[in-house]
Amino acid sequence: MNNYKEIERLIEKYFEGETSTEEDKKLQEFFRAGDVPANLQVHQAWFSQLKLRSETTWDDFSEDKLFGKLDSQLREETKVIPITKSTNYRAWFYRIAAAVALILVGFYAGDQLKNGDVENVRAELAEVKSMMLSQMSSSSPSGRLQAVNYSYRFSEVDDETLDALITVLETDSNMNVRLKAVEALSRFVGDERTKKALINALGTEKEPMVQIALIEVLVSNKVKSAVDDLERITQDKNSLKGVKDEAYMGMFKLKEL
Amino acid sequence: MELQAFKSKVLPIKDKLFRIALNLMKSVEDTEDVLQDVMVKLWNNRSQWEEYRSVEAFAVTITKNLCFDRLKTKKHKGHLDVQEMEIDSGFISPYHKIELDDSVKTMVRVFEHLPQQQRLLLTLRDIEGFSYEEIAEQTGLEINNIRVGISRARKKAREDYLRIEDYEQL
Repeated sequence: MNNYKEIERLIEKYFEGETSTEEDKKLQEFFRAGDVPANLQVHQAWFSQLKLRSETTWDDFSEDKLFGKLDSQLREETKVIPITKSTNYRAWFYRIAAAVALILVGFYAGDQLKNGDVENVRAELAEVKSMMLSQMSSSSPSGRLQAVNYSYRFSEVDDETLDALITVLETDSNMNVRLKAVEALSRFVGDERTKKALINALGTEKEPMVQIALIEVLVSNKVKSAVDDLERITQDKNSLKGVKDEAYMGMFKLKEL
Repeated sequence: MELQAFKSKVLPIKDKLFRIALNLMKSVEDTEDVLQDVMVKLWNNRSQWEEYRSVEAFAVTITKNLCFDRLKTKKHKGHLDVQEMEIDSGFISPYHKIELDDSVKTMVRVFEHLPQQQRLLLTLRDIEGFSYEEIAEQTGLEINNIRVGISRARKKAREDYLRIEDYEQL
């Protein structure tokens, strides 16, 4: 009877949610044992159904019933991954191989072309140059004129060629050859030596046609240091009127700049 | 983690998960289906296992969540309707096929008509014997709320049972 009192007390606690797990076990054991007084029958039914549920196991369990979806998901993943991976790898291998082959062909072809072309051009230019240099000291004015014309073949000139052109400008006896040399040198005014040579030529040149050409070149290239020589020309009694006018205009333009 | 290691960690708690899901879903068929989803989710989220004290706690949480998700779509009646209970055949609980005392049989039905939250709490506490702390981790509820919920569930079951007894004695 004392025992029932204890159970009743625990039951009260149980319904308030205040029993410990140990006390819960005590209640379960009491009602499992049977022989329960009528006033506690309702609780026995409760604990019996709890017991029934707690003893339930997955009767016809199989791993497939638990992992069926997981297995098929992983199968899908492994099915997809290796195939796409292997094809990707293979595709990438071919792509990279093709790219490398293309680059190699490009290098080879470029090398061939470059070597061939450059060598040809170099040889040609060397030939032209030696011909030009030798012709610049030729006895015939037309031959020297031709030689100066050859210098147009070079987009860039070496010192040897420049020296040759400057020498022609300063010393050639033929005015047409000197005129052609001014034209040829006008492309290289950026070169300090050429600029000086042109200014010097302006100081010494007596031929009006060449004087005018020199003035044009120096003024259009904004060579301000040519002003003094231009002023001298404007004051020189021997200067042709046309040359004086040209020099005066040139001075005016250079000072204005 | 290898799949085999995963399975060996999960297999020991399969019956526990089965019971928890069964008490929520009621039919074995639904239970087996939901547990397959639980396994997929457990595997996919295996990096989160460390945040839980045990694989079991994490597995219980996922089981609870997936069961509740499915019950939401099933539309569920939380309170007991005596009339309905007599003709209710909307679910096939394995407990209805077992020979039982009438009183236990009634109590099985009473349990199944409790609201899902109450069924969950009673399952975790009275059937699986988890402590309130463990239930708090599994459900994310405050311990005090768990205690109150369990108290209400036990009282409601008793009331429902007594009402049915009264009804049947008429």
